Amino acid sequence: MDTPELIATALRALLVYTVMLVVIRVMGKRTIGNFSAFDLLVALMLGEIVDEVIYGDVAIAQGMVAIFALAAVEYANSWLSYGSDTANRWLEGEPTVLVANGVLHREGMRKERMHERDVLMELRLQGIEDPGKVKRATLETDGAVSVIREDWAEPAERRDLEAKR
Amino acid sequence: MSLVHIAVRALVAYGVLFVLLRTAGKRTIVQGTPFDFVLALVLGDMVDDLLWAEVGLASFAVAVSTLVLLQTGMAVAQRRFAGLHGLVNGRTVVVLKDGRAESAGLHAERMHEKDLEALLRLHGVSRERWSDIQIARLEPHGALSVRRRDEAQELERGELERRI
Repeated sequence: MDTPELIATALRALLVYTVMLVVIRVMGKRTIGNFSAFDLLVALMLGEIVDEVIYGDVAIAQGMVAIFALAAVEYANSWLSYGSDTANRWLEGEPTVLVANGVLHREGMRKERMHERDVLMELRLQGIEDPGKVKRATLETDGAVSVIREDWAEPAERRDLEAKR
Repeated sequence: MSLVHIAVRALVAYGVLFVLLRTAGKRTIVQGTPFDFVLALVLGDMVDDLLWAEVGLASFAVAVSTLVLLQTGMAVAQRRFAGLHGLVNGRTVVVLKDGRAESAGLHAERMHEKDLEALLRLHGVSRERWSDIQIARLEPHGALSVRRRDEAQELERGELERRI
């Protein structure tokens, strides 16, 4: 491998770095920030595309077209799901209730193919051993489980002290 | 192509990336910012071409070093120029204030109120308790930071002892 080719590799890496910085910045926090499974895929695709460009296996013009096409679709996707409620439901899905008022919600669990063990594990990860303490546990659209405790199971707050006086 | 060569190249790639990232420092690839995440993916993707001998070791070393060098240089530049930091990372956006959604901030991030509801649920805050929140900000790396009103802050043991 001769020196000019190595310099070209470095320059292509510089170009790719800059383009990625701009593209990801423009796509916004939401796009890759709160990862949905699909956003993760887009990030993976982006990563796979650019390494070929850096090595010079594909022409820079072709690489740029691929990157911008992918970015454009992802960008359009986020506006579409913002602009239309129907599109939003289709593109992002709906949250599913897993625990309601201290009781496991079997219907939601079946819909998401989650076993009791999975739900209890998610609660443990949030420091809760007893589902009875949970007012509502929800599988959010990004795959994370949110947990709202029953009022009596919430940590004490400053105003509780005032109220006791 | 001999199988031994593949193993050797895998070892070399591992070594090169390991040394690069160790010398560049912990914050080179901070998990959490979208760009850092994609950069980590790219570094990983650069390896497979080396394994199958589609590129030479020199190209691989130059390519990954350039990327890591740029990333380190960028961090240094951001420390020096405050304006650059905002430009590269984006700004903090207020999405909820005094219990009410800030529609300008939400719009800027293409977020619905229901997205905000979900984010707050992940902080253990239900819709009925939005009034407890003084301010919630969407930070540059996409996470939500939440500050409760003073009286709704958790009661710490130290404070309890002081006030009893």
